[in-house]
Order: sequence, then structure tokens, then C-alpha cells
Amino acid sequence: MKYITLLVASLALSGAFSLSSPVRAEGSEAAKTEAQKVTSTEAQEKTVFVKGMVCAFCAQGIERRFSGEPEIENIAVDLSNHQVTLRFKPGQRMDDQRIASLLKAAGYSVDAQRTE
Amino acid sequence: MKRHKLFSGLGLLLFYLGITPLAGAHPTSFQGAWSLIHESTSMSQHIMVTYSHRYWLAPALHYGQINLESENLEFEVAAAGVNTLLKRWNQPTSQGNLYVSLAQGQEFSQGLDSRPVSFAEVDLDWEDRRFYVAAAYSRYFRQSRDSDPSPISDIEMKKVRAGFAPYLGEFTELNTWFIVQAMQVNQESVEVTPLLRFYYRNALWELGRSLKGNGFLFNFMLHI
Repeated sequence: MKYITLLVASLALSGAFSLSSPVRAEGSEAAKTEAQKVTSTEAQEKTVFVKGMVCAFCAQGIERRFSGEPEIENIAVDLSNHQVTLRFKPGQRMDDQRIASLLKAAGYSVDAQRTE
Repeated sequence: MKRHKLFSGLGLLLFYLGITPLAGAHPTSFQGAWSLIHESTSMSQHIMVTYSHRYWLAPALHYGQINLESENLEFEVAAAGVNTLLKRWNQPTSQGNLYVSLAQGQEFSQGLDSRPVSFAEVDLDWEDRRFYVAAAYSRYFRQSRDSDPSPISDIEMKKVRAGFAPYLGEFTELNTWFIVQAMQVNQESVEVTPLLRFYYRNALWELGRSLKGNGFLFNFMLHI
């Protein structure tokens, strides 16, 4: 009885693994697709380090300044790291000079040492 | 007298609506912002409405009251002027500002004829995410008349502040600061006030109580 139980348990476990394999493969495919999406998303985003952005009012001013631009889909402000992430609309871009110019008009400047 | 009551009423209305600006806090804001600021202590209150045409330039409307017990003066003023950010120092993790505000208006003090008055203020501040220091000097340039019962003197206000943030909040979170303010008006004794500052997104408010125990401080600022 002991051997039968072990055999059944072994078969059940191996079955479970064999069943899980296709799922894992699907997961891997999904992960690949997700990775492609992320890469694609990154191409539509730009993160800028901003000098002087130290408070919520600074953040609000910068957010207001960029959100009015036609290329911008979304703007995320990270006060802790003094950085702003700009997400562009599909097919849209904004060059570094223009970003710097908009920040300057808002009263701030790009931290070129930290911005990639 | 009617004008006096009108401005008093307007001031109180703005006060109770809580739509008042902080002198010295943010004389200018981001481009296109309306700012409503109220600043009040046991001896004074100041209401300011500004529109930031540029981040460094904001036309402003002021309403102020100052009670000087030693001079037996209840000073009241309404004025219009301009606030400018003369210099900003942007550093990777900090910011410093030098503001100058000028205004011209009318004084409506108790027991005196209404008369023109000029106002000037200089504000200097520096802050990073953890620490904050500020200093302000302002002066009302008053005009004398032969009919005045006693000599008229200018009113000057000096203020210094220092504070720190016990934790670092994000833009979308409630931010809290512990601040100590020392203020002197003319030759009155220096009033030291510990206060708590809170801000959340576009609203800032401060609550404090003078160490003398003779009054509360309440400041409110909103950028829209």
C-alpha cells in the first residue's frame, strides 16, 4: 500500500509539472510581450532631473506647464528624487532643448549632470 | 468712514472665507496661477490676491490691518501693486529666492483722514526638502498731515523663520513642517511663534500660537 501511495503521488506530481509546463511557457511568452511593451513605453517617455524642485507648489507649476503642451500625454512628478517623467502621445516627441526651455519658463532648470 | 467700513467688511469677508495670501510666502507663483493668501497674527492680518503673469511677476491686491498698542494705532490699508521674483537660485536639491513687492494704496486708520500710503517688502528664502529659512522686511510709508493729532510714523515689520520637515512627503501626500517665526512691528516686543505648516498639492495652511500666549497665528495660501 505504501508503494502504491508513493507511485500515485509521483505520478500526480509529474503530471502536475507536465501540466504546468505549457502554462509556464505561456507565462514566458506573456513576459516577453510585456517586456516589448515596456521597451516601447520607455521609448515614449523621458525622465528629467530638475534643479530647484523642492515643494508641492514647484511640482504643481511644472505639471501645469507641461500638461498644456500638445505632445504630452501624462506627466509624473517625483519630488523625492527631484525628477519629472514625461510621457508623450504616440508618435510625439519633445527634444531636450524644448524641455529645458519649458522648465526655464516655469522657473526651474534641468540638472544636466543627472539627466540622461 | 463708509470706505473704512467697506474695506473692513471686505477684509473680514475674505478672512472668513479663508481666501487670503501669505505675505512673504510666495509673492509670485507659477505662470497663470491665481494665489489667495491670508496671514494673521495677534497684531496684524494681511490678505493678498495675486495673478502670476510670469513666474517672476505678479500683480497683487493687498488688504492689511495692524494694531500697534504702544502707539495706540489701528492701521488699515488697501493697496494694489506688483510682486517680483528678482533672483532665484536653483540647485539640484534646494532653491533660494529673492522677492521684492511694491504697492501703492490708501490708508484708512482709525481717527485719521484717509490718505495715500506706499508699501515695500523684501523677502528672502531658502529651502530644501528637509530645511527652510526665510527673512522678510516690509515697510508702509505713511504721509503726515497738519491736521493729524499726533506725529505719523512709518510702520516696519521684520520677520525671520526657520523650520524643518519631520518626514519627506510626496507631491500627492500631506506635507508637514515645524517652523519657528519671530516677528517685530516697529518697536513692539518681538513675537515668537512656533507653528505647524501643512501643505497638500496647491493648498498650504499654518497654525501657531505666540509664546506670549496672547494670540494665534493662522495663515492660508491657495494657488489655482
